[in-house]
Amino acid sequence: MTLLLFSKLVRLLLKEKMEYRADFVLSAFAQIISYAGDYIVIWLFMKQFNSIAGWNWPEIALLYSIGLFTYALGASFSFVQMSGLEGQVREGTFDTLLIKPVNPYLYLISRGFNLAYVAHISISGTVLIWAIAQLNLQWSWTDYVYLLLALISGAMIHAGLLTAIGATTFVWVRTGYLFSLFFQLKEFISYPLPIFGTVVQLLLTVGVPLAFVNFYPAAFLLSYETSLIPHWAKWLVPLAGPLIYGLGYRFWMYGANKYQGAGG
Amino acid sequence: MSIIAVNGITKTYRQYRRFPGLIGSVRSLFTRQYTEEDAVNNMSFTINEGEAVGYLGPNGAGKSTMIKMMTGILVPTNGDIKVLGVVPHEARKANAQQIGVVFGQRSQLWWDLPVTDSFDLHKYIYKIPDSAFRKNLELCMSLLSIHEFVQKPVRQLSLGQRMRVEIAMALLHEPKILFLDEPTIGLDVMAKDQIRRFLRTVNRERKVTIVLTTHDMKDIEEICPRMLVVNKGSLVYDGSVEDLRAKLGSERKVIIDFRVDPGLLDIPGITLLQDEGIRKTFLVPRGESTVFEHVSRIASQYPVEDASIESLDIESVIRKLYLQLASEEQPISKIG
Repeated sequence: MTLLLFSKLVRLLLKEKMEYRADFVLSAFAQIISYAGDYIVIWLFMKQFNSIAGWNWPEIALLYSIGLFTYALGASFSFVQMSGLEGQVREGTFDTLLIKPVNPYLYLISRGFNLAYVAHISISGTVLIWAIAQLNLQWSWTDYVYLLLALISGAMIHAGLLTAIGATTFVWVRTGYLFSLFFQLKEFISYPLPIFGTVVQLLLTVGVPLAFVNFYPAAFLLSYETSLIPHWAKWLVPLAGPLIYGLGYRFWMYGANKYQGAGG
Repeated sequence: MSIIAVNGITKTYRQYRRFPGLIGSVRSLFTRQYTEEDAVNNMSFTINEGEAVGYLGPNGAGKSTMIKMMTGILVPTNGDIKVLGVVPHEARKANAQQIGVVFGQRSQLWWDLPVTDSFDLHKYIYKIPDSAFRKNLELCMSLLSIHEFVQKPVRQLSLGQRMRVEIAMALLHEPKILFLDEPTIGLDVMAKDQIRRFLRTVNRERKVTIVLTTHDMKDIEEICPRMLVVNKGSLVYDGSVEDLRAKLGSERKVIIDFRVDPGLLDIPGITLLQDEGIRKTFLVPRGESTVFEHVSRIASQYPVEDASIESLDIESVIRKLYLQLASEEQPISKIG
């Protein structure tokens, strides 16, 4: 899988999307409206209570935006691809992926590269920049580097978890409920971790480590105490992404070897 | 020189038991209950460079499974398989570069884009040099008359046009072996003819080894001098079409036109296949008396206008083989 092939694929994907231009524009517009609604709900909520677990509105906006931005980045390379795998395995079209002289995983995620997430990225990116400006933080350049690493790591956590769920398709074929479970859990990270009980905190830290997506990086950047990760481990947090993504990839490749195909 | 060597290959499908509902889904995660079924059972054969081999058998005989193992899609449960010197599923990329695969029922084209975009992407995926790409594309496009619709989106093509494109694309990277899984399924007579002629040319002139599965015996007759017949995962015949005919089709079909309808004829040793009044079709086994003797005996008793003798067509031979196989059949699935 070369960069040349990837850019060729993206050009074709763009061309393909433009066959259904109106659909593309409308769905991007719908996404922006829907997430703007989410922001407004949190804002109204914060107007009422001023702070949750000590976090004020711009801080919550920062937390939520990192979550959404990294999700969009990670999901553009994984969500449609992995949720569509069920159909491909059931109909046997996954076969055609295994007869190409390219890595099947890399081909699958590039072939399905989803440009529609540009909507999520623009709204969350805008709010993220607004929140940083609003908070008037005295950040050094290391803080900006930390934020950048956290965004990359967060995207990789999302993509890694979605990839791992996708891998189960090869054994169980039906995976819809695992995806809904993922989205249910993702709801939790819209708020600071300390508002939940110990069980949920542990679950989101070591079980399904979504807290590493936005809570831990944001807490360290905003100098909040975290009960589960000591301060000296701050720079280890962005390693969670590559680790989870690597494991997800290995699991997926293992699953592809278990692929049984469809009758034909 | 053999380029495909299959030795004692078995493929067992394992179906885990699934339970309904959300709780059932969770339960399915932990259960170890499954059923096993052998789709391919201890199969061995070799295919030499330049051969054209038809791979056939009734539905569910394990044809696609075998093709998928040879192309590296599926991992065999047991046995050795070597294609061009490598184990296909272990060296997927190397293997893919050397083979072309066409699925009659699974398109590899970009549905919403013009045909030419799919060709173009293929060039990047297989890293085909410019000059070779242009030469091969031109040859395939003219032999399969693709020029007239190359700028149309794939979704607007007829099935016959699409199939021609799929086959052309599978040959652009100059594969040594071309695997085709039911390439003529659902096509009209003209489209089938064109594809058969093309495949024969590719095999005879460009020396591309062809392995194809089909249910259409004409594909075999026109493209493949050798055929492998499988049933229930086992090889039941390996040889030429003529040999199989000689083995099973020892009967001759005799069509006799009478001047007047002779009514019901009862001639010992031969069976009436079809009765259309003055035209009757008989099945005559080759035994003590020759076909000619039978015909002249009838002609001496009844006024005969015309008579013609035909050997059984390959369809009937295969039908007979399948019927024979079905009567010997035993289920081989077991609960694990």
